Amino acid sequence: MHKDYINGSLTVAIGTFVLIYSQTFSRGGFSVAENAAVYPQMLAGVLIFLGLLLSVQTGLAHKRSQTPAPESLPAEGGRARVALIAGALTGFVVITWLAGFIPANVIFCFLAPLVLGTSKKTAAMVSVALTVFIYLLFFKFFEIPIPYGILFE
Amino acid sequence: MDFSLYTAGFHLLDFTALSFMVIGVVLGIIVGALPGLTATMGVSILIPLTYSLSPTAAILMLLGIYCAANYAGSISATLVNIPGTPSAVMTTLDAFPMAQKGEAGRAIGIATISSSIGGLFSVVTLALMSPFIAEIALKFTSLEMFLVAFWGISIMAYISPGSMVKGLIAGFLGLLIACVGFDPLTAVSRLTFGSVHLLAGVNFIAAMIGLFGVTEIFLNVEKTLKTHKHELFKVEKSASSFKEIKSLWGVIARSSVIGVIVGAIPGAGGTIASIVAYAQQKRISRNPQLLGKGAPEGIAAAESANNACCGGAMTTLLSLGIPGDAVTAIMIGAFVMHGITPGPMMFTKNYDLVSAIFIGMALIQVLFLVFGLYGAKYFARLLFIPRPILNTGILALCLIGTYAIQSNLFDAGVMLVFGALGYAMSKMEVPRPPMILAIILGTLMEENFRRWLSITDGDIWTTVWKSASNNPVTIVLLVLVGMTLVLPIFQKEKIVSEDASAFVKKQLDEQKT
Repeated sequence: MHKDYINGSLTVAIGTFVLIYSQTFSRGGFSVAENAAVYPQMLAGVLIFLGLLLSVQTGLAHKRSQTPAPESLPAEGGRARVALIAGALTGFVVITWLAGFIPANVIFCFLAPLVLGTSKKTAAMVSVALTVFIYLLFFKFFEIPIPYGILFE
Repeated sequence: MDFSLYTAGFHLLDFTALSFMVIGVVLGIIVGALPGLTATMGVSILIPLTYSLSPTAAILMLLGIYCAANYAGSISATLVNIPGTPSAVMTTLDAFPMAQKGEAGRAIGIATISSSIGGLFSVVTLALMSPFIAEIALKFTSLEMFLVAFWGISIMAYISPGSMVKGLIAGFLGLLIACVGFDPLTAVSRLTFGSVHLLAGVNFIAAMIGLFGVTEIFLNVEKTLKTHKHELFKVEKSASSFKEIKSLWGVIARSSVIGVIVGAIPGAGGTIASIVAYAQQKRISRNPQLLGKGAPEGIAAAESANNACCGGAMTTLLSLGIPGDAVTAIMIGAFVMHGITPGPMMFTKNYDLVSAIFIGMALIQVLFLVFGLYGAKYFARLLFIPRPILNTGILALCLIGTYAIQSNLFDAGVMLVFGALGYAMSKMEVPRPPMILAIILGTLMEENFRRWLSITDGDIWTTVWKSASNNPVTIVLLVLVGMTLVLPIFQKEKIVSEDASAFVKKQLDEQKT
């Protein structure tokens, strides 16, 4: 399926959802301007129109030229690396929430370089150096309160 | 003319503000010199760091990153034939061939001096033009403010690569995201799905860091694992290029004017400015066949134009509150974080700060001139930093930087969601800049729209007609918005982005042959 059909359909779906969901908003006042739903509903209406327009445009363009546009392919294993890094980043947030910033940063800064192709020794050095650097910069120099995690607070 | 606007800010330029400005310039050169890192990413990641600084120090630091990164893209463009920032793409055409001839220092010298002169010219334009534009903008009604903001978003959608409809979809999704939280007029909660964290709305800095910081790293990680293993050309005697600049005055002056004009068009940015200036130079050059083969005038045209863009982009930001490019769009976030609303009111409420920005921006051009001429060979060594380490460090900085905004891990979650959204948008070829601009301008647009709705009692069309027949500014804005939305229907190809990429391709092909 062409990317822009998906884009168009998703846009129509989001617009329709907001149009329906915004009917549950409290009114706020009696005039049109005081109705909190008016503006999001207008935006949703425009989104539905744009989604349909994109689908029609794509359909017309598809009819005119049957040769698919060349797609630039990512490097081998690229998407898997993105998924792993995104997972590690999510883990970073969760561990920071549970156990605080320092253990989370040490783990993340060790795992991420490994996923990206460095040796264990380099990853370990990066992990320690980055943790010390960020700790000194943010928590000592800029005096931002360090997250200790719900387990240690 | 009130000259106090150009001196009132001196007292804000204390040691701290100047120190952070220098730090900003150094960080900007680092960000710009490293391919894959952009000024947009650098500014968005470092905004949280400025939270504890004074507004002057914070804004000058970010301006330092912005201007210096725009220039420093030329370092890697010269030494490894890869533009450090997208706006240095035209610089590669002549700077790299010059480096191959053993004149890397000369190429960097011309790029540095041209960038600095272009930047200084744009600061003078900014200082002269923005007070006049702001004076006009102060008289804008709610309808006109709404139209200005909407024009900004639609022109960014128009200029973004790909179909304009997709740009508009990104913009309207951004406006919808800006609706999350309390309604600005009635305090009714909207689209929060029961989350107390979302009552104050989506944190736009977290959204920015996600869309521009995390997404860029995901895209870098996907593309390659490699670090540059090129043999770097020796950089020497950059400063001697001063003598050569005399013969390039005309090129620099012409390209600086182009840069300022293109920079002032919302959404256009340095890449387009350098392409337009380079194309213009090729058209009028006495030796057009030499451009693309190591001609100093090619470097001077591209570099003075892309740096002159900064002043152009700042002109619309300070006078209208509408950013000229993606970096200034993000910079609105920094202003708002420090309790300042960019726009015409700054010239009355934050008079001293506006003045400090003019002076600071001029100093920044001088600072990167000095750092660039005497330190380029040291900055060039940054090209050897292994990519995995760089990417890991940036992701850790993104996360802790987002947390630092409000000491709240929920914002880090927001950053992750927007990082994933930005990656998906990039894969689906939907542009990201219109979305972030809309998230930032969304509340302002809604407030003005609803205020106008309340004045007109819902009778929109009659009031538009009345306003347009009484005020020429409304007509001009309506025509601008209409043209931006309707023009693409009558165009077979988009003027700016696609023609520009075709132009770059043609130049590269010519260079190969």
